[in-house]
Amino acid sequence: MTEISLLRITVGIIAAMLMLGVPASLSAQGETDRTALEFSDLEAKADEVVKVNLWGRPLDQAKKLLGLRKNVTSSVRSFMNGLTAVYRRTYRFRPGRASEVDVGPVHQQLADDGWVPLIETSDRKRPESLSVYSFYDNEQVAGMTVVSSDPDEVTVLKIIGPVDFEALSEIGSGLGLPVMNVATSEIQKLQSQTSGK
Amino acid sequence: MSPRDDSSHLEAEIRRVMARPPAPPRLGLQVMARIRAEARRQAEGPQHVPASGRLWFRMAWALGAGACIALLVATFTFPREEEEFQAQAVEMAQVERELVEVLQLAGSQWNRAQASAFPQGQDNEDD
Repeated sequence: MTEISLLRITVGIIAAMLMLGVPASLSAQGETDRTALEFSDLEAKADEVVKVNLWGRPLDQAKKLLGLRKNVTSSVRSFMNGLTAVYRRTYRFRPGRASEVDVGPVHQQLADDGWVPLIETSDRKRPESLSVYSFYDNEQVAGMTVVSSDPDEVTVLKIIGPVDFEALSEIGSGLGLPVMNVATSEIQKLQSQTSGK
Repeated sequence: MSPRDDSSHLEAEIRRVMARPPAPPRLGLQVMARIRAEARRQAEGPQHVPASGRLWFRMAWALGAGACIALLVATFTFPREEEEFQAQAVEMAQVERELVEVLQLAGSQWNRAQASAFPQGQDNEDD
C-alpha cells in the first residue's frame, strides 16, 4: 500500500514538472535577457530607476497596435515586426554622482555575454560616454544594446531581433513613428546634441 | 273567519292550481340531470382547464423568470466587463508608448553615435 502511494506521488510530481516545464522553456529566452539586465550596484546608488521589459504577448500587442497607426513607414513596420524583446534601464542620480566607474560593470557584462562594441564615443572635456553594441547570430545582427552615461544618468537600451539600422536612424530623426510626446525632454536633449556636433 | 269562509278560500286555491298549464313531462329528471352536471363541474374545478392552456401558462412564467434573471445578470456584469476592457486598453496604450519611447531613444542614441563616429564635415571633405 505504501509503495503504491509513493508511486502515485512520484507520478504526480513528474506530471506537474512536465506541465510547468513547457511554459518555463517558452519564456526562457525573455527571462534570460531580462535577468542579464540587472545592475544591482547602479540600482543601489541611483535615486530613480526606470525599468521597461517588453517581450512576448505585451510586445506583440504593442507592435500590432503601433502597426495600425497611420504614420508608421513600411521600413519601420518591418523592423518592429522582427523585434522579439525590448528592454530599458535608466538610472538617474543627483547631479554629478555618477561616474564612468559605475558604468564599468555594464560594459563588462555585455562583453562577457558576447556583445561586440560597434561604436564607442567619449569626450575628454565632458564626462559623457556612448557605446553601441551589437550581437551577431549566423553573421546577422540579432540585437543591439546602447549604453549612455553622463554625471546625472546612465541608460541601457537593449533591442533583441534583427536590427535595421536605417529604420532605427529614421525613428531617431523623429520619422516613421507617430508623435507621442514620450520622453520629450530626453529626446530633445539628444537631438540638440546630435545637431550641435 | 267562519268554516264556510275557510272552505271557499280553499276551493278558490284548488281552482287556481288546477287552472295552471300542466308541467312538461320528465321535468324532474331534467332538473336532476342539470344539478348533477353542475355539481360534477364544480367538483372537477381547475382540472377542467385544457392541457394546452397549462403549457402556455408555464412557458410564459419561465420566459418571464428568464428575462428577469438575464436583466439582473446584465446589470451587474456589463459594467465590470467595460471596466476591464478600459483597463486593458489603457495598459496596451502604455505598453505601446513604452515601445515607442525605447525605439525613439535608441534611434536618437544611434544617430548621435553615428554623428560622433562619422562627423558631417569629414563626409564633405571626402566628397
